[in-house]
Amino acid sequence: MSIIEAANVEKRYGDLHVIKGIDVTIEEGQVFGLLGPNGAGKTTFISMLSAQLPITSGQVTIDGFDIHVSTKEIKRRIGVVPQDIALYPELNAYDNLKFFGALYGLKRKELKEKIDWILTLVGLKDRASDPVKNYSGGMKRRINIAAALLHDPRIIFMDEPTVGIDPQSRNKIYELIHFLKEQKRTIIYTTHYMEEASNLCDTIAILDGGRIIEIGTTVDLLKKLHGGILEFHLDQDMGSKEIRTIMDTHDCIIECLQAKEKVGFIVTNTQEALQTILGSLSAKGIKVSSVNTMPPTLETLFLHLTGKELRE
Amino acid sequence: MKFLPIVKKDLKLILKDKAAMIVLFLLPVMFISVMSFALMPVFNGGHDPTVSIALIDLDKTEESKGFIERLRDVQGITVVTESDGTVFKESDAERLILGNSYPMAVVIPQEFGKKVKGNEKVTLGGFIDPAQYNTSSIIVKALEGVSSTYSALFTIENMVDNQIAEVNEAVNDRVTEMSDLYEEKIDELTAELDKLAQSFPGGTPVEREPIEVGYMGLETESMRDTLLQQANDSVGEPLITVKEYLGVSEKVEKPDAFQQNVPGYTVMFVFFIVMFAGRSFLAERKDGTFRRILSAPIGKWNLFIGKMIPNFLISLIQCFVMFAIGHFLFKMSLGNSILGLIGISLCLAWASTAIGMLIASLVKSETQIVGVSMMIVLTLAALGGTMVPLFVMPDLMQKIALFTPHAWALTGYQSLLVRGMGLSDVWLNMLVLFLFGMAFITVAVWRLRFDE
Repeated sequence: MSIIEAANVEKRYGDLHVIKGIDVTIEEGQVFGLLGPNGAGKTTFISMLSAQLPITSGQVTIDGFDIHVSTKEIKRRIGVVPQDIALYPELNAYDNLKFFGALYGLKRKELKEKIDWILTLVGLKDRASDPVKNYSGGMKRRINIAAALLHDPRIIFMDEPTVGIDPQSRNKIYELIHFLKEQKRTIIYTTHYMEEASNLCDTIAILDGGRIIEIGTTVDLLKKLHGGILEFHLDQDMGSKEIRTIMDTHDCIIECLQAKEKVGFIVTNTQEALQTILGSLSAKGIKVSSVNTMPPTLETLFLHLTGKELRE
Repeated sequence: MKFLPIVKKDLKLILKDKAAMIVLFLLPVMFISVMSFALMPVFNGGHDPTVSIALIDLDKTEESKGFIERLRDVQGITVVTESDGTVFKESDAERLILGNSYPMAVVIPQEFGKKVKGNEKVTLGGFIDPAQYNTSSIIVKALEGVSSTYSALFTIENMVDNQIAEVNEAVNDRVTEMSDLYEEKIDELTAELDKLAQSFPGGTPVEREPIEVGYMGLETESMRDTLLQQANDSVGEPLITVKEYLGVSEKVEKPDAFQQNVPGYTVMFVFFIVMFAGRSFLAERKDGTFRRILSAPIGKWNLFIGKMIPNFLISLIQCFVMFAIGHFLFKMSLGNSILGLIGISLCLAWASTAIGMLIASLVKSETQIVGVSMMIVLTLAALGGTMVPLFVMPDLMQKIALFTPHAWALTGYQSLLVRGMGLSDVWLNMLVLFLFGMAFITVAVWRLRFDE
């Protein structure tokens, strides 16, 4: 059952077209990853989905509510973990949580119980009375997440929640996300860490230039890379005719990616393909200065799809 | 009441902010205490309010002594002519001034008495301490007053003498004229009688007995004394006098230093909330807490009101604390209308909160907060008469002051505390403060962005 449906969503700031018609459907209980380079529009997109930012055009339905007419209903059902540590450093963790819980109408006993529950869950109950300014980065991140979960939201937006923290805190956050997943909560998750995305996310959408350029389950996305990518740095430009010849003569090459003095091949098996392609290049008198072997990971897919590395 | 958590949170934050507590509460209390105790003599709080001047008498005549006595009668001036039994000399004048002992030294020149009696011009020497010019200028005015009164006495005496001499001469002339007329008539009558007597046989000639005129001249001495007495009385006790009334109420007491300074510094420091309001908005924008709050089911109006109420409450608490300290610690009278004080305080807190929201809507950086808020707060405080009393300002400045909420709040408080007025007398002050607040809030609502 889909809990979020976005159709042809656009965002413009004057002449600046930030989000260019995104269609996406997110199923309930999924961890939905949003990957993309800086400036791809990830934060803008989740800000629109979480009703923090008005949509220029398009339709969004959250848990059956139209975002244009039922903003408050939607806000009651969602929790937002911002990219920044949006807490009051002078207040202690308990007071911070009390404040954010109260914004959702939680009161007295219920609020106290929820605070105790979430502090236990993020492992900070014994530090609850310390001012947040005295916390480590990881501890602040955990309270930052906790503040979004107090009212037990069905949908949680997490904007890079593990940036710049220690491994212990990161593991705590992963545990928390697994716990939420078990609770059938839907999580929309943006991150720069590909490993994190592949481990946590059921479905991943890759954004670039305000568009989703690839979407699918992690397994399906990785299949697009087959055995990985071989990238050859050449001493000279290689003509498209020569590339076509090499591709036609080797079954192990699935796709070719070319940019000036670099040429990349998606191959079925990097070890086998390396010898074969090197042989062909040598036979054509093309000198290779270096070879980069990229395994079939989300990192490789990200670079392949956004083309940042190859375009340089 | 969705703004209530925001109100509680902001109150908690500001109460934890030591710098805010110092600026908003401790600093005004310090200012009120220091300035009130320092200026207590000015407000006649039990200290000797007189100014001492050094007087050097080079003439040493009855007239110069009389002048000194007259000067001693002037309230607020103590005349000192000697130190440790040594009479001041002319050469001491400069030393007495530069030694900060006296703001002014006055020298009565030789032949003072002679010239005064002769209705000649005479000039008193005055040495003034430039550092105490304002005090000296007041003393000069007092000296001029005494001099003109004193010289008037001699002028009157001369006038009386001249007048009496003229009257005496006129009466003598008339008496002589009458005497001559009578002599002539008597001579005529005598001649006619003689002629008549001689027309009779045996008549003897009629001879006239010499007549002795009994007029010895007018009694001018007692007349002179009476006239001089009346003239002196007239100068000493003029027909037109001024009686001072303080305020409009019969219950009013003389204002003390605290009644002047408590409202002044309360008004000034209530507006310092502006700085903390601006800082709070900036921190919330920078830390992303505004966006986070707005991701909850809270509207922008609730957020706006939630951010405004704590500033209003803090301003009100400031007023309460300052007046409570003034009343209970320094025994300051609160005037006759507690309701009036509450009314002005509410409107003052509203105006300061509104200007705080305005600044919060305009500033974009910490530097701007300090710069803009301090400039606005201190400029308005200076213009509004919280630093320098309005009555000493020129007319133009007093008119400019009316464009500040400070002036309206301050005059409102002073009307209640010092002039003994009531709530109904300060309605205009309250209305103007309210309108100031409305204007500031309107611009703030127009300019405010929570998510920049």
